[in-house]
Parts: sequence; C-alpha cells; structure tokens
Amino acid sequence: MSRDPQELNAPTIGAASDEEFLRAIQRAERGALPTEAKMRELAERIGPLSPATSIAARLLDWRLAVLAASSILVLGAVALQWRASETTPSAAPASVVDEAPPSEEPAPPPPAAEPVAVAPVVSVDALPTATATAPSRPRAALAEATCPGEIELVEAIDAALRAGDAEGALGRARQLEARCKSGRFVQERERLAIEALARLGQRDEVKARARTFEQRFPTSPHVWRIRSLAEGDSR
Amino acid sequence: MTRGTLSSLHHAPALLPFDRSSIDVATVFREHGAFVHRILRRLGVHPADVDDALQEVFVVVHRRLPEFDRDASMRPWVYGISVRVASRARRRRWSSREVGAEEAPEPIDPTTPLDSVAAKQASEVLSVILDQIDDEKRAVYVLHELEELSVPEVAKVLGCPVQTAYSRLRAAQVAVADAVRRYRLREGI
Repeated sequence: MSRDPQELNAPTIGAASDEEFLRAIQRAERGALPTEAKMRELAERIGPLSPATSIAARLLDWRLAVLAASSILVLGAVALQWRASETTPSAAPASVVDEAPPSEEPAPPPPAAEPVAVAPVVSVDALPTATATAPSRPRAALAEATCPGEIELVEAIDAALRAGDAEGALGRARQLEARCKSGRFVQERERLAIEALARLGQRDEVKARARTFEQRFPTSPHVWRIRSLAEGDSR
Repeated sequence: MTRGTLSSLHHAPALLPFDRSSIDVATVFREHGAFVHRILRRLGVHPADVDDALQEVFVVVHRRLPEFDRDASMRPWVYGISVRVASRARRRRWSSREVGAEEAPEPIDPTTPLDSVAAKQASEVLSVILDQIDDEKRAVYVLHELEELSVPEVAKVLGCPVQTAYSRLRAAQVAVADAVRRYRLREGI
C-alpha cells in the first residue's frame, strides 16, 4: 500500500516514544463512536422504554410496577447483606438490576427492578465495584492529616485550570506550595502548576520546573505529561 | 437541556417524557448514547455485550431519572451507571467462561504515521492495553484520561474519596505506561 508523500515524513508509530504511542492511540480512539445506523438500531432497542409506544413497553412498565413493590424486600435484604459484609458479592440474590452511583442517591428509594427475563442479573451494588471497595473514611482522614486542606486546594487548582483560569490555578498552586511544602499530593500540585505555566506561555519556567520534577520524581506517572509540556505541548 | 425524542434523531418511537422535568430518556440517549457506547468498551465490556449493556444503562437511567438532581451534571451521573453496568457485564462474561473470545487486534504497522491510526484499530489496541490493569484503576483512568472528567468528578462517579481517586489515578498511569511498554515489546512496534 502506497502512502502519501507527506505521510512518509510524519512521525510514525514505530519511531514514537511510549508516551507518543499512547497519545496517538488515545487520539485515534476518540473517533471510535458507533455509527449513525448503529445508534438508530440502539434507539429502537431503547424505544420500548416508553409505555405509550409498544406492547413491549407496556410489559416493561408492568414489570417495573410489579418489581417496584416486590424489590423492596429483595433490596432490603441485599442492602443488609452488603452493608454487613462488603466482600461477598456472589452471595447476593440474582434478581435486581444496577443502581445509580451512591453519590447521587444518599437515601435512595427502592428502585423498580427488571425481571429476570429482561435482566437476569445480580445488583451491581452487590458486586465489588470501585464504590464497594472504596477505602474507609479513616484512611481518607489519615491523608488529610498530613496537611489539612491540601486536597481541597488541589481540586481548586484543577478546577481553575479546567475553567481556563491558568492565572488562578497558578496562584492556588503557589498557595498550596506555601501551605503544604511536603504534602501528599506534591506531584499533582507540580503537574498542575506546570500545566498552568505552559498555558501562560512561561516556557523557561516550564522547562526549569519540568527538569526539577523529573529529578525529584523520576518514576512519577506525571513525568510523561510534564516532559511533553516542556517540549511545547500545552493542549 | 431540552426535552428530545429518539425519533428526532434516529426515527425511533418517542420515549416517555418525565413529567417533573424537561429531561427525558430520549434526551439523555441523544446526548450521551454514543459516549455511553464508547465508555462501555473502554471499561472492558466485550464487543458482543456492549449493546445489551447499553440497553441496561438506559433502563437504569429511565428508572432513576426522576431522582436525578437537576442541578447536577448529567454526564458523571450517566457514567456512574455505566461503570456499574460495565462491571457487571464483565463479571457475567467471566463467569460464563467466555473470557478470551475476543480476537487479538491486528498489530499496527510501525510505519503508520502517528496521526493516521484508524479509530477501530486504536480502540482494539487500547482495549488490549487497558485489559492489563485492574478494574478500579481502569475506571479511574478511563474517566479521567479518556473521558476527561475532573478527579473530583471521578471520585463522585465511583463513590470514593477524592484522595483515593488521585492515588488510583497515579497507580493507573504507572500501570498503563507499563502495559504500553509490554504491548510494544510483544508486538515489536
């Protein structure tokens, strides 16, 4: 297969660093969305969720109504079982479907569950998901204890950067540096600060801080990103 | 966000609008359906299971939508449901002993320019790489690095403390870097 002459001079997969390779893959993968025809097909499958449009829909809602009542007991049992022991997902009854994230439902009412014929599955809440295995509060409290307010400032820097406020992000990063010289999230703080500097076009400082970072944290996962920032990628 | 119908986009029957808001399943599907499809793959749902998993996501959306906080961002909420559905879909396939049914992707020609990798091939290669890391790290990595959610949003989606999300992200980045290196060694690219 012949290639466009311009492509012949372009950097190739084989010659790319691991970081460049991964970025190229991730960039290309963004285009891997389902086709319009596929979405139409999926829409047809989702369509019966409307009870007004089909027999299947009426059946679904009938089942939802029945299960809304019957699942109260089932979910109660699942919840008790899960709360009691977050390590035995396989013991959960196989009759209810997934739940929304816990953060969205502090006191969830019993959801209407799907019948086995539609979704013959175990509640995801009863499976060892990231949520189920999240570390307990004491661990979080321990992290906070090293430098109170550190995580909130890291979040604020991140938020400012995402909002396009590089100046604000940098100011908060300096504030955090002054407050938590050797906090737990020094690497994140530095990465965000360097991102902010890159967006502000402060190339010399970006390079200097990138060098310092790499010397201090040579095995950090942020090295890739920081290195590319130093090389001029401030996307 | 305005109310919509699937038929407006895909000529499918209109869906039931939820009376206490201007958001309905059709709107959620129209705005997030394609991304849910993609994130399910990113989270490791087998290609043969993605359609079923997507349908399951929207069944849950349909059911939970009346409880959705209208002031909150929809995307993390939908992704939270997707993460849980994906987790279950993976386990279901694993327990049915159908793991490994997915064919290995064609190796990428090393002379391919960086900006000319085909989306489908990239998706397959990325799956192979992400399959090397555990589910918790994968979820954090996908949500932050690929879906570009902020770390606090990731923490909210996963229901874990923010510092845990940061720690998992750091570990995930290391694991992905390692997986990339091993993949390239193995494939000779």
